[in-house]
Amino acid sequence: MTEAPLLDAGIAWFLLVAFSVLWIALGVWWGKRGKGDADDYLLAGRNIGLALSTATLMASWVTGNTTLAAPEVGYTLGLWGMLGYALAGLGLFLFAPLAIRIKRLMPTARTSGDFVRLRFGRVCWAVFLLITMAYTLGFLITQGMGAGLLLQALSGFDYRLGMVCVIGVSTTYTLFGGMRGVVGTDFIQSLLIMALLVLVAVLGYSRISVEEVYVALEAEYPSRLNMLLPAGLLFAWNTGLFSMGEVFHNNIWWSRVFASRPSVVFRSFILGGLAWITVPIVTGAIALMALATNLEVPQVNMVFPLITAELLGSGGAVVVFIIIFASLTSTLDSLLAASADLIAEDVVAHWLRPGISDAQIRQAARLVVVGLGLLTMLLSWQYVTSMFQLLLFTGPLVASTIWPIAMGLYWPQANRQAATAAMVVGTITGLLAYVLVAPYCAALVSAAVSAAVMGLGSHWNPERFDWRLLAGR
Amino acid sequence: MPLLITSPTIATAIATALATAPAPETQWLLPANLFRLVVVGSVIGLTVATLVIVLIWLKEWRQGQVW
Amino acid sequence: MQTEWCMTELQQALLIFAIGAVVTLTTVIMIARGHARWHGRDPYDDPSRAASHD
Repeated sequence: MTEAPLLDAGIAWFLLVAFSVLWIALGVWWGKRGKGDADDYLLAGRNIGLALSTATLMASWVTGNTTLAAPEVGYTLGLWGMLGYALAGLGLFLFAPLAIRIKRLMPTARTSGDFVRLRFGRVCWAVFLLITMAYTLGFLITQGMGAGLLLQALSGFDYRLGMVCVIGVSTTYTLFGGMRGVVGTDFIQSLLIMALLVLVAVLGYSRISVEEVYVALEAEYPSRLNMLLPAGLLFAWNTGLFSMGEVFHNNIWWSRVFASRPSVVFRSFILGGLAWITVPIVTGAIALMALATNLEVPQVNMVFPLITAELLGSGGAVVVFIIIFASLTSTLDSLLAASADLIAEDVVAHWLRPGISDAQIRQAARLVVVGLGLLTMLLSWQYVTSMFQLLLFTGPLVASTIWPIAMGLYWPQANRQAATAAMVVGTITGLLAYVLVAPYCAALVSAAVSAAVMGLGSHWNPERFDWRLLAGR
Repeated sequence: MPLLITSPTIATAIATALATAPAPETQWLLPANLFRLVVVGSVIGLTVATLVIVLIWLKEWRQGQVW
Repeated sequence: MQTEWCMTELQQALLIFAIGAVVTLTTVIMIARGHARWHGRDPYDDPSRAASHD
């Protein structure tokens, strides 16, 4: 990356230190609230309201990818890129009804692993843990690498310095604040991201009108307006199914269900989904201004920072820095907290050391937060371009969990052998489709095959599951 | 032409698809008014969402129901 | 593995788009049916058991 940084190093350092101190101070402060038991540390006391619940869903789902990859696909694919990316909001919408069922069915549970273990047994649980660990690790590493690369491009920081700073800050406030610190900072981070994106879009489109952008695209880049663009059509549903797989299986979203008040669970996922779908469209629309103004974009994944700095000057670069720093930290903290819950509860308390006390679970979760933070730094130390491909490779893994999770929540006939087979066969066929057909089809093939295996397996050999088994933990 | 994309990232995969694909024979360009609706609607949607979250927080804060 | 396809690139894309829509719609219907099945009911009181007793 040889281009001059968009932001003066002094300003960048000031912003980095100021926001790092703010997040850590707030995390520590919020961490001191509550009763201090394991439920408080892992799930913020299980009573968060609608505003915080919605905002934490927004902040966790607006990742570094949403602020960089969504404008990138808007720039390269145009409208289908924006709308296709927005379909990732489907995961949040469709999880809303499942969330109510989870909340009522499992009032004392802590993780998605608790559900899979109690509903489908230990074999399926082991497969599920492998899938979710592989996915989470890939996700953590891409966010860590994204942090290093972005700070390097925006401010000229050394890649490793930026990466260590962002992961270090997220790890520190997650460690001290637990879920309460994560949810509290997510609230501020999501409002910052949303308000600043609106500011950039409004200021940007006041410099060059929507009509001017349309005319320029129609004349120079008609493919960006083409609703029959093959690459765009391929992209669309894969994103939706990937998002469903991610949200249905990952403990980030299950922990939000357990942490929220029962009365707000459904509304928070619907509101969070509605708010989120506007983000990729807005960032994509901002990227379209780069095409309309013929801005030179040497690296397509930097289109959002470049056009914002071009239109709004150094103030724009400051805004981009804040948006991206908030996106990365809010996703990293959620991933760290939710993965620590999962490992402490599922691996430690239910596998390695059954019968440990609540205080020991809390302590284990804290150790896992630190361990995961360090592991992410270590694995992100050397930037490898194929890491993003690794994340895409996880699409079939997570898409294979959609039907086992949803059917397992609603239908007593949902069979445990079918659930295990659905995850394994869906993953394998999805990966084969990735390699042999196209990356765009991978999540789709995985979801379709796993749905067929789950549906037919449960039809031929129905289980008579006793729902009361889920009341415990 | 087989549908075979093996580029390292989605960005390059999309770029490759766009670069190698012949100009589509069939095009349906979104009309200007719908394009405007998508762009302006998303910005208004994001603004409203931001305000709604702040208002809900204010209401819950007054009632002591934030946490 | 290179295989000659008779379909154009747009036709292939539309086919995959349609399959994606069907898979997504089927999932939505399954979730909607499941939600309706449990709406306003005790979470452990399975309707299928009740039906079999009737």
